[in-house]
Amino acid sequence: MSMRTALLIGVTVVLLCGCVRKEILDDINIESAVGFDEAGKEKIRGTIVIPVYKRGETANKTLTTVSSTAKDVLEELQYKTSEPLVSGSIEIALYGKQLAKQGIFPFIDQFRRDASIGTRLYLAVVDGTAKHLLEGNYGRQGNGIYLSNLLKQNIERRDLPKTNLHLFLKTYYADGKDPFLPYIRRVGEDVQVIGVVLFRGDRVVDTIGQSDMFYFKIVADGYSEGTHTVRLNNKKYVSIKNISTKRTISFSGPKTRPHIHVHIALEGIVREYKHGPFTSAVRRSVEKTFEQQIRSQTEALLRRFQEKQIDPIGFGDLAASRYRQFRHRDFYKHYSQLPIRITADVTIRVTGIIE
Amino acid sequence: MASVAERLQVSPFMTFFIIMSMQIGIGVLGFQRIIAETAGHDAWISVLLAGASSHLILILIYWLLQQADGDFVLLHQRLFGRWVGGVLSLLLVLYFAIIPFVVLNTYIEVVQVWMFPDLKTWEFSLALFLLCLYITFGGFRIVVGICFFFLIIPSYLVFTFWFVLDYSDFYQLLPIFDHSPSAILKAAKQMTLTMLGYETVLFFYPFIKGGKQSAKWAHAAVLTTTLFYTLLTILTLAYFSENQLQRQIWPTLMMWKVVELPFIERFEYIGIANWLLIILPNICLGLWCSSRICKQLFSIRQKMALLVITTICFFCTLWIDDRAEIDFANTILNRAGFYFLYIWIPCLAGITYIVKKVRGNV
Repeated sequence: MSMRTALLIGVTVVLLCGCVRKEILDDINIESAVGFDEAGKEKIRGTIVIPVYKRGETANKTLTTVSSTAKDVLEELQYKTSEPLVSGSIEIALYGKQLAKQGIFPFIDQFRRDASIGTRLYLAVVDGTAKHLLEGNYGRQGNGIYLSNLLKQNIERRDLPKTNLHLFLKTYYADGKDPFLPYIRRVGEDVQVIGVVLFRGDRVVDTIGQSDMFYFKIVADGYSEGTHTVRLNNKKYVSIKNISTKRTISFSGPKTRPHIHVHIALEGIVREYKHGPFTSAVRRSVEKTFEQQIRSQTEALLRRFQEKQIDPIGFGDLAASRYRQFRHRDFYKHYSQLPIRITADVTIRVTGIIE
Repeated sequence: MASVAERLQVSPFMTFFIIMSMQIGIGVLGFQRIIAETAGHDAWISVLLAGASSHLILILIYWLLQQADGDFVLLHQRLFGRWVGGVLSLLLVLYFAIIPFVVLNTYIEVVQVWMFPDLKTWEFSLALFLLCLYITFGGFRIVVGICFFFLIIPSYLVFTFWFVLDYSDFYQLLPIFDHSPSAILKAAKQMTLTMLGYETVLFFYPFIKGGKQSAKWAHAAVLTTTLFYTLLTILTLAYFSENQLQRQIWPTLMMWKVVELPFIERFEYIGIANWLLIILPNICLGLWCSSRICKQLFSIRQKMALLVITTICFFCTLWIDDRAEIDFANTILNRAGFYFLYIWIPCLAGITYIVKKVRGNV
């Protein structure tokens, strides 16, 4: 009996093999980046990048089409390729600034529903149009990999706060936090991170420039590994590399209008100081100046968020974890008038390898 | 008891693997959303509560088994007579036959949604039922072997949740006890489907060498499962924001989407494929239990019962073609499990206790 069963199973397995649709790598077009732009009234321009593998390097092929809904755009592109397009390997999705001002959620929804797309997918907003940016040729590995590495590098080593599809959706759905995304621009044959765009819901309402990104990151992520240049009073510059940053946010007072206290403890090492020896007196003055800068810059940023009624830091969610029976609606009613106190504590640990 | 020959028995320590592999099943892929809907970020407390209650029920089960010399079907008949007792046991046949059916269908749905949309339900369930038939035909010891290996082999999956830590905000779990006790209790009740599995001990007990010693292993299994579920719930609650979690059908699979390994782009495919190993003991043990009860009830050969039950299960899968129906079957199973374990077992213990006082023996 068991012999017969084994035989039956064997036959079934053999017969059932190949019952599902196969996707052979050479016979499909793998999208590596997609972009969405506004194209006139109620029209959307979709652009995709397909890597074309050649010996030694990867060329890019871009396809563009205009349609009325987000879903159609990518579907219509199927008409333009000889091999089926698959979306499983999209590295990055870009949104033109104009489109981002009107809301990008309809163009994210399909990524959310598609089981083949990972949630590490990067999203970014483009100064100009996504089409223009995607049509360039960057790097040797193709545009998709280039752009995702660009963002990855800037998130891990520089001042771009952590973002990806998962974090965007997490903050989009959160009651007490608003999403933000990297802001990039094409400069000749390069792409540059020029800041961070801030959303209310799924619409862009504000932009943070490069100079403020450092301060935004230390408050938003509580972490930064970037190098920052501090300008001292006497026109001297000192370049400081962050070793560790610790951000503490505490609340006091009633839960509808709490006092917010943001404390930033930063530890760094000196990377560059070319005005004589780095004495302890200099060190103390650098620390003081840096603290002062963190305080004023961060305060200006947070004040701006309050005026625009956005909460990219997530004060609402943090407060919800401190107060029982917290109501986000009551909190945001008074959000713009909440007193926020910022303190900073900078420690320059070592001066580098030179005495 | 001891109607089971020693060469067919397994050592008491195997109880740990049998119970744990039966408990961890398809529910793990999606239980978080359901309990978080009721108890929000306090859902992990519900998991602990459900675990604690499982321990209590398990104590009752072991007490009952000792009163009945390890034969639960016989206990039903001695307490309620041949016919009523028989009908009660027949309900259990149904209950254990629904488990493989529900587990397999839910799994096939996952495969269809996540990997192969054009996979046909009947092809896959036929192949799998044949495999399970083959395993269960080998007898209880083979089933235990499957339980053992298919708990150990996929256990490495626990480490994949390491990647999730990067995106977890543990402050989302605070403040603790922000929900009413009734909400937390209700979520604990919803947790029962995921906790189910330890009730199988009622039927495989005679197959354990020195049955009584297995109690500590059974409790260890329930404890380990509870801790694993609690950990997973905490991670899920920290990883998703509350509204976001409500939009996920399979939060566990969604968490794998963020795993990034140099050699694999989409880890959830590995996870889903591995999950087949995890559900295999569920199906096999479910089939084994229901056919075992049949054997005791009708004095027929167990293989015969197995064949009939598996065939019925298979034809039932043909008939299901909709997510709502699978959900419905899941709900039925959840209810049945709850009433069986939390209502029927304590009642039965009470009745046994009274009968024992009156008659002197059961």
